[in-house]
Amino acid sequence: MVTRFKKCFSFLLIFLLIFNLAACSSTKNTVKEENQKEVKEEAFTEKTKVPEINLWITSQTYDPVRYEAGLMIANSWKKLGFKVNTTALEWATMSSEGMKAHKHDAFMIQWGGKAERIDPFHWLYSLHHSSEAVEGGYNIAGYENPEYDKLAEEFASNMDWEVRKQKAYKMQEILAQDVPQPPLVHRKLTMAYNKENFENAIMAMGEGLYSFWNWVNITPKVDRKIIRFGTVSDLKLLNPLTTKTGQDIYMLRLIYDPLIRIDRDGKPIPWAAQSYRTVDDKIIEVVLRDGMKFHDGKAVTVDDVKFTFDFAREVKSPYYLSKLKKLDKVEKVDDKTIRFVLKEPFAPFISNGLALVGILPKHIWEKEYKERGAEGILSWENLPAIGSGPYKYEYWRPNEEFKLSSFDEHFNAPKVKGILRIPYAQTYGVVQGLKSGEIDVAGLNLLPLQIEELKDSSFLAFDEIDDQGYYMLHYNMRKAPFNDVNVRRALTYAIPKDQIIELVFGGRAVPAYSTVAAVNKFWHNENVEKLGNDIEKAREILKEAGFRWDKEGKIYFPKDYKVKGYYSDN
Amino acid sequence: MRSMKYILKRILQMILTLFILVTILFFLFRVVPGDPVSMYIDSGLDKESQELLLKQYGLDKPLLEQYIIYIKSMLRGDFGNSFQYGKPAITVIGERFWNTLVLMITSLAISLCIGVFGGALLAWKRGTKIDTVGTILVLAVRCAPVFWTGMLFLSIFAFKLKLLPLGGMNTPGTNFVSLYDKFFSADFLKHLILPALTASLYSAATPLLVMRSSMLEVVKEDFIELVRAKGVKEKKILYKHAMRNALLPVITVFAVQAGFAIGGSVLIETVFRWPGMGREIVLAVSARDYPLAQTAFFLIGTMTALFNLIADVLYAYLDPRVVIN
Repeated sequence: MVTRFKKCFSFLLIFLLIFNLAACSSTKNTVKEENQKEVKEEAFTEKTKVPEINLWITSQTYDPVRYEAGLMIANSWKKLGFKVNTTALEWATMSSEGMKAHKHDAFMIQWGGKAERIDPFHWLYSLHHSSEAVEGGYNIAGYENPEYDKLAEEFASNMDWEVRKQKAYKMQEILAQDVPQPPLVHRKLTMAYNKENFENAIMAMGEGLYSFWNWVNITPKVDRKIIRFGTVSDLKLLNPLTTKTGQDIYMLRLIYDPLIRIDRDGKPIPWAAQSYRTVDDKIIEVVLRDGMKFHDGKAVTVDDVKFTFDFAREVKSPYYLSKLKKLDKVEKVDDKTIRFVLKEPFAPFISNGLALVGILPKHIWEKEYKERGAEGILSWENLPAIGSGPYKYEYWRPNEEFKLSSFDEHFNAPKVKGILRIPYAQTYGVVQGLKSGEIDVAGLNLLPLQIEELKDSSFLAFDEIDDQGYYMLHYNMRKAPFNDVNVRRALTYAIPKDQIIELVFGGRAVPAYSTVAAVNKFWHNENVEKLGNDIEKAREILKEAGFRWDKEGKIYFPKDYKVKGYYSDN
Repeated sequence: MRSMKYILKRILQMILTLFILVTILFFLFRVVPGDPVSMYIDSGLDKESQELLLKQYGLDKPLLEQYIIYIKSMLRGDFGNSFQYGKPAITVIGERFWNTLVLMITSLAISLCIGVFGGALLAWKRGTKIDTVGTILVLAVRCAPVFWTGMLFLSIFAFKLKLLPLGGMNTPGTNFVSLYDKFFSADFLKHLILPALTASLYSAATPLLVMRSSMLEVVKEDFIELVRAKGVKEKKILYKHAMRNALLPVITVFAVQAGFAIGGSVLIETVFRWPGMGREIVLAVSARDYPLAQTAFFLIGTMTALFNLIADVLYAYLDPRVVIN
């Protein structure tokens, strides 16, 4: 009995001893680790490591440009010591996560250079004013610079174009230094048409052969006077109140006449208006053109004009409402004259408001409105679409063909008899259609390989113009390290713009440095800082700002790091 | 009486299946990231307009409420308005449906003929050169992607020989008064040949191989020996006795194929510019047009279930040994 107890006791003792030893040695270890950590704190710890950058790209088939250029940019950033992850996302996902929710680190999109963006309100105000930095707003980078905001507000509200230009110049300079979201490259838009069948085609700034001016100028050389126009995708909805795709808008512009149109150089000119003048900062007076008719034969009156603007706001048309935010009321002065009264001075109202709203026939829409109600009118398919424009609606078989015929009573009647629009579902089809002579005009920006394929077809003419839209890389200033101006500048300097143009575009693009395109001569500021193509300069900027690299070349934040958000903080 | 009861039971099962399908579809599309509005931000949809549109689409309500509204209106036969086209989703599909149907029925008919007779022939000539070459050929065609065969046909028949049109359903610029005009013209038939041929070559392989192996089973059976011993002609044995009995598995395979075919073939419709449902479904999914995508998939589901039911009933007719219960 006793021996047994002894045995147990000694066992317990030994056990305790071992336990003790083990505990001691483990405390020793933790102390050691803590010491090491302290040493690391001064040098390279997880805490001071620059966070990984997630660069969103598209799949190669969706847009080879964004895919290839994205990989090149990521490689270049890796050379600076950043950890970069590229993820290919579908457009619907990228747009809702990035464009809308602003959850990105960095991603690229191709901003279209539509005619209404020639007045750089979109580029300079919408994309960069702090009021747009909320969810769903255009200020995707989250750029909130009070100095810039002030300039932007003056730019928007001053009616004097020279003053606006001055402000625009200054804004471009600030943006080029702060680089919240650098423009990368402008494509050289290249489009082709059949020169044996048609002549006088017009490649306009921003829109190429899609331009309104092309469709009223292009002239047949042969007996077949209906022009065949091949595109990739079909139209969706020809209701001007709810349309949202660019393709619909291009066609609606031919069917409906706005009071003002943007001419080829981006200047607003009277269209359905005989003339217009600004009475004061907040009042614009428009005299309606004489003798205009809708396609159903009824005359276009001042009442139709007033109705259009009142109606669009009454039913809360998603498309028109944003264009008419600053409009207070529309007043009929007499049978030919109408006044637009603004809530506050807003210079782009003429080019981005009056020029985008097509006049609707009151007698049709009032009747439909009564039958369908506000919600019903917004989803009405509006066929046949009746406007007063140079083309009238003929028929539409979805995914097959869409036909417009010329409205000969129009004051600027087209030279062709009509347009037959054929959706091909894929670019390959459009190119083959052009090659085989099935279509006369391709609504497609041709890529180098496609030009190569078409160049032996001697009946084709190729026109090109620099795009005023661009590929833009959107950083997210709400997140580190993009909240730091020096990081943004360095990353932008590291972008191999020239190499991208050479390798991805086959030379058919020009580098973009300013937020307003060089092709937009009136507004573009040549003398902005030009960031790009210089990885050494990028490293220098980071070094000067105190960023450090460990033995493996990974980048770390400076000691006693203070974020500098804007160039003026330096 | 008994068979009526069986059919009724099957129909009830079908309705339950479809209800589950609708529920899964509803949540599946909404769980996927992305929404039908934000993809138009870059083309000029500002934040107020986005909110207006979401409200117009009814997407501002809680998910469960949306689901209840959806089920309720579906029971009334209202599938909702397409976000892209404004008009009812069922109308949008109706416009594309006939185009797909004509193409698919043609190609299924061709592929069934090739499949049944080809399969029977290969099995009958088992071990000969015809069988070896034929099987290899069928497998090769089956492995070739449809878009590739399609483009090959296009470049030969449309580009080089200029015999057939490049694509579409009619020569651009033809306008018609009625559906009859559209589908019953020489021009339409010319446009139908290449896509129908491409589709049927691809879809003939499965029934053909099934038919072949089923035939091989059947010819080993005793009754074939028996009829042969009776002195019946070889051709008659093949057509009347062997083929009829070998047909059963082909029917099942074919019913499933037909159900899917209603959804159209995206690749064929894209290559040949055919204005059918397949193209539309892909567009609807990538544009997050929930009502349109849901309706389209619902239709495909219904068709697949329906064809399966028909196949089962047909079984009993073709093979008296199958007893329905």
